[in-house]
Amino acid sequence: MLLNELANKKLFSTKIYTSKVLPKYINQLKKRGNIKILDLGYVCGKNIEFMSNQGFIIYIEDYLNSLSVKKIDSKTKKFEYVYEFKSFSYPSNFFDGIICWDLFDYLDIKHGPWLINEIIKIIKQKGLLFCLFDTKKPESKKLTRKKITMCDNSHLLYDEVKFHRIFYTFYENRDIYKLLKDFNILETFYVKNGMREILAQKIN
Amino acid sequence: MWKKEKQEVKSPVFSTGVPSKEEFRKPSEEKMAFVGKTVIVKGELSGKEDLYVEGSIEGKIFLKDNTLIIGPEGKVNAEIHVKRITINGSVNGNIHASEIVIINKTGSLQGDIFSPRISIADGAHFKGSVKMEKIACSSPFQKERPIEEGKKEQKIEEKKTKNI
Repeated sequence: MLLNELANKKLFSTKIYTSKVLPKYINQLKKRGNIKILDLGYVCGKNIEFMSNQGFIIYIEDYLNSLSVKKIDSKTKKFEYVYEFKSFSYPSNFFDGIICWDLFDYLDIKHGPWLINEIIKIIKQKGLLFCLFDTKKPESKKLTRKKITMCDNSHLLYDEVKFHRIFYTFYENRDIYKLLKDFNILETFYVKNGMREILAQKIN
Repeated sequence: MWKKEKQEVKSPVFSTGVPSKEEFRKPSEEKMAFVGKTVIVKGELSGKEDLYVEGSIEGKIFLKDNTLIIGPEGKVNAEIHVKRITINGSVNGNIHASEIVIINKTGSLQGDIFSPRISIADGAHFKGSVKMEKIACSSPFQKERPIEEGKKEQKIEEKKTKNI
């Protein structure tokens, strides 16, 4: 439905891209029962509806928006922005799947591995992690973040919303493998718009 | 003189999760109970009429057959059982809705949703889980009922006018 609406508005070719990981992610999760998913990305109503209609229990937490920022006035009288590290309040081994879309790119270099360790605690064994990483370095004054909407089982709509970006960490392939060292990477896919889709499974 | 008033026949509406215009009605357009900005309610609140909240409520809310609207300045810290709810302000607590939960962009919810339909604005502040509960009878025939009912009512009116 959404796909047709957007096609009529001629946005189809510019913003909607095929996802190779999304159908696999949904199909693999559907094989399990009583599926719990945590979405750590931008709050998107359509995604919540879509995932709920698949029969999943979806938990929402906009991780980036929930972080508070500390300004540190050091001896050199320089202001430094620091995100406070925030642990999750969920029980351990709770989620069958976690979605981290366009999240690690926005955290500083120490925060990414720390977040992955937090994710490992709350995701079940053989739980699936769906991540997106940007393969392009951003322009210097980029004040947006991505809003990614599920159109159907295999298409994602990429949009930009206003956001004050403090950090940017660029992950190359080897960095991603290092970051996800406790996961088995099942699928990687380069989207035409320069995003890198990763499907990873927690190792026992 | 004998002109019949045309009845509006509703076309069948299939649920897309997107709320209709009726669901966004302003409180002033309807007769509904109102909790003002300076009002603070603590305890259990129940009733059989729609409620608009601009003040503060703490405890439990039971409006199982009615609508609850939280205004932009409303603050609710309660377990909520309603037919439908629209959140423009702040809510902290689990929501059980038999029809729909709507969170608008200015709305904030920290709690779990149990409802057959949801509509959450992009970028709304929401932390919690969503469990879509199936509607008891969701056959397409039931959704087409308004037309049939409308036709029946028309026929009854026609008979009445003939009798006159």
